[in-house]
Amino acid sequence: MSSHDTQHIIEIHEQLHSDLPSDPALRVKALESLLVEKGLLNSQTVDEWIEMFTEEVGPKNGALVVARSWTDPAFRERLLENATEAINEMGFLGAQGSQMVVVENTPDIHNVVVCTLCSCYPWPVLGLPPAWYKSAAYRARVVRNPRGVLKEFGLELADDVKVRVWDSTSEMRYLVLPERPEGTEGMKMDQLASLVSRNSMVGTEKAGVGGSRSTAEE
Amino acid sequence: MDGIHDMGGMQGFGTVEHEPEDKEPVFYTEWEARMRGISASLVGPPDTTLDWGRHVIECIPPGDYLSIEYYNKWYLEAAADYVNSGLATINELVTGKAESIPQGMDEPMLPEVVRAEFGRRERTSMPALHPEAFQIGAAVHTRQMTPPGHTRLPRYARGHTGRIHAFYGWHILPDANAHGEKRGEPLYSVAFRASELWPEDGGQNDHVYIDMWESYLEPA
Repeated sequence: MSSHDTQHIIEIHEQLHSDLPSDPALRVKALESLLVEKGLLNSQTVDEWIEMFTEEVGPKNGALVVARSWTDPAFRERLLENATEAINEMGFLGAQGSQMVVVENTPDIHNVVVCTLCSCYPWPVLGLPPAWYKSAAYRARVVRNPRGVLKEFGLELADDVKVRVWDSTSEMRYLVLPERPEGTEGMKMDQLASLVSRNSMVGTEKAGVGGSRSTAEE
Repeated sequence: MDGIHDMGGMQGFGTVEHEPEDKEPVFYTEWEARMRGISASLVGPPDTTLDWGRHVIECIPPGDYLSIEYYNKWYLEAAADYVNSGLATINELVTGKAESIPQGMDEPMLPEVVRAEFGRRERTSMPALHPEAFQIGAAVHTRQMTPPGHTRLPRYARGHTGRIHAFYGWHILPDANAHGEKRGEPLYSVAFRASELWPEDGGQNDHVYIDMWESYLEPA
């Protein structure tokens, strides 16, 4: 059994700080060789994860959940009532996204998600978090001044809109259900999904604005 | 632990720099991609947990925590955890050459199982041992606690009054799990008025919702 002692880990970090090369590329290269030699790591497995994260994982699953909820009222109801089961129906649960909560934007309520303590984020529906989500500025500021931060993303909210900030402190993972954009009444699921940006599902913009994604890219 | 990681509400940070969504790469450099893949694949110390791993990152020297790259923190999590468990030495981490081969460890993860691993459901649910103490809508007060180890009660939310918004069932308590004791507690979503948390800054119409275990709370 190894210890789980805070002070001991702090001392190990101090030693690592003074003994390791500062260049992270050198650190990671040495770690990989060491773990392979010790029989604790397979380099082809590392390649496979990189390929999956780069080519396959992304916000398209979340966009499909949102587009379906816009066109299927019974699904929307299930999604808001029990997001874990509704998202499971679509096969999109997994690592860091097994216990889900969906919060709905309306003309009166705007939701935005953060993890002030680390970088919790629902990988299976949104992919890996973008740099800004993990930044100190976002983590520090969005709980205190959400309207100011949203303005930096180009989203200005009227004073009477209620802002709800969700701080992901547990293993529940939050997904924002953005409002369906106007003028999309005749659209099919895949067209609608292309209007759902990643940022609109974190809550830093509205759907159908700015970062809309081309389905061809995915 | 009142650490540098507990950033909610800290002041002095500037604009949130962000690139257009379709221009942002998944990884900026090759080493970041390697580190992300290594973290997902490695055989760790047998008694490590998600919560302990987070705590190891929280213990990174504060100046480094603020200045190093995100995946460099993941590197330090792995490195410090290996040294702590005796599976590696600092000298081995510097040279990249093994001085000893650990015995009795699991086989490394194989490439074929990557997608199944990513799709595996991780649950923190635990059996209920007694009825939960707070009902939805109840006013609660957060304890002014300052534990020396891991906690998920942010500093900015301590000593404040909020309302129970939702009950999520019983879940593993990170404060105990990080330090080797797995037990459950009722978990709630608690809503706080922004003006309660930030009297000078909080909008009158705004709320912050925070997930909180029962031992973080007392009746208001």
